[in-house]
Amino acid sequence: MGNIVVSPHDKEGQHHMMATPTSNNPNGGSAATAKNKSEITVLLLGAGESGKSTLFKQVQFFHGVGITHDQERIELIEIVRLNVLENAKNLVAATQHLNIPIEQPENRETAKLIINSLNTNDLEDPSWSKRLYSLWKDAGIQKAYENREKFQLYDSTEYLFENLDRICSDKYVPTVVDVIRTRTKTIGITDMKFDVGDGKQLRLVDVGGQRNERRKWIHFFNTVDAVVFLTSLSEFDLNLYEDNGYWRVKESLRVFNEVVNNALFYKVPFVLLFNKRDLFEKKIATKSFSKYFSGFNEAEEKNPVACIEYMTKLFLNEITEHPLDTVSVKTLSAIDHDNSKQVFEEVKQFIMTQQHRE
Amino acid sequence: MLNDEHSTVSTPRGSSSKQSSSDRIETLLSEYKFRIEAIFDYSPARDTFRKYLKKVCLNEEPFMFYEMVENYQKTRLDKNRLELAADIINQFIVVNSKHELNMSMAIRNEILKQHAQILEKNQNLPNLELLTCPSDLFANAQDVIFTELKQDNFPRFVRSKEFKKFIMKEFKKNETIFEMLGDKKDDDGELSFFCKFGKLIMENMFWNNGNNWKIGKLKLL
Repeated sequence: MGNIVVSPHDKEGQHHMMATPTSNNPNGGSAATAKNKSEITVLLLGAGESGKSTLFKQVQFFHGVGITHDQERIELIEIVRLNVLENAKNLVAATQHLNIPIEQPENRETAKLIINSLNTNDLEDPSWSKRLYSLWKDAGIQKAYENREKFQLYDSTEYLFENLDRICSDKYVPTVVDVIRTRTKTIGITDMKFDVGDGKQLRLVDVGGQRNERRKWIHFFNTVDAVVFLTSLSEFDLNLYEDNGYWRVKESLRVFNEVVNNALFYKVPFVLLFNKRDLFEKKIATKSFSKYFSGFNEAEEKNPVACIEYMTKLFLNEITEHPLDTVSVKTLSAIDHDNSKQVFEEVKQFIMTQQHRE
Repeated sequence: MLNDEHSTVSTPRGSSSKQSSSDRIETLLSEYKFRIEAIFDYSPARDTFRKYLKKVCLNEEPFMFYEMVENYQKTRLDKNRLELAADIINQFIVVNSKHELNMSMAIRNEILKQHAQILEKNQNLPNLELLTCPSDLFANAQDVIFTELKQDNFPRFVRSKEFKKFIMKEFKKNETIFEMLGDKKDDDGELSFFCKFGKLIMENMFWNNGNNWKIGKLKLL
């Protein structure tokens, strides 16, 4: 999962949605003085469900803070269970929407309860593990799941259903993996700091990615020392959560364009992370990639490297202003602890090196 | 804006003069699991949460929406509700509105559809007293927004210095504040709690060994 060679850009045109910094500047710093600062602010940006918070949680974990602590995870029991219920609800709703009947009568009963009355406390009862698992394995639900590009569903669905016997127990304590796999839509902004040596602290800022959230991003634009932009490789067959008629790849490209070409970031190291490589590789094995990209050679569509190279070109073509030698491109599987650790370490090194160069 | 302590790793804890009462609060804070429902029901706590959302999370919209919907629901006259409904929709629901909420297209469209139907029904009425506007128009959206606050911002809030400061202030006036806002995690205290479940956590970790787990990284008792 190394670096991908930067290719020249050939596209013009630029949006200005987020071009102006606000006067509402939290720290009053500026990127130009970055190398003298004891605090390095790194912004995680990207459209909704690109994996910003997953990476953020991984970074917490390998720095031994936040969710590393049992006490913090114990408080998340209800949130994991809410995720289970939301996943179940979304699947049941999808069977209705797609006109796929749930086959077994007892699963139809379970589905009714899920929609009408089931709450997170009920899941302490282990009998729900069997009932929910049986629903998950119902041919109707599985058929809806196979068609999940047609509705909104979290990436963690399968994981949660496969771990029901732990989650549906009064002794349940979420593992770090549970917490990392739990989808929580970030609303607003959150940050974390940790030491990176040389008396410096790295401040990592995580944000919500949906359209309405992006207007909050600019609050940080003029105090930023580096930007890590995430995009999901596996979103090529998906539409937006906040706009079902809009292709996620198009949105990601648009947001990337607006961010990377922002004048405030000209001098700032910029990392583009193609996330969800794991999901992506699974997906292209069964789904056509070239169907979504007319410029892509169909014969190559089962080759992840070729697909990723193509995506890389698409994104880099959006860069019209930012100097290319301060852009780094990597792939990532944010749910994979070791991979996240390695990639984040590389990102950190890249950022620090760029700052020294300045 | 973002505060420096709520998620900081290396910030030293309180000053030594206040150490003992601060330590006691710290212990109590770790022993209780706080409920967002209780925070919402106690207005000083609710205000603290709101300020935290505004200042630290840049996320005041859900709260403003929540309170406007509360107000909407307790408004008795249909005509007044009708006006409030239009106001809420223009401020929070419509794409690019001033305080646009982070909501799925499905929920947004459902509200807009229902609202259009209400407007249609109220057209050409012989008498304004016949106007109708259902008080549950935003109920689903309000539930979803509340759940999202509960999942995302609330766990961070109860670990923030803002919450701690609030609790310390309240505790001086009222020692039952902890019972009021939360439940004790376990009667035997945290230590025994973790001894009891430590084994379970270990088992869970092995269960997950397909996901590149490093067991030594977790500090288990």
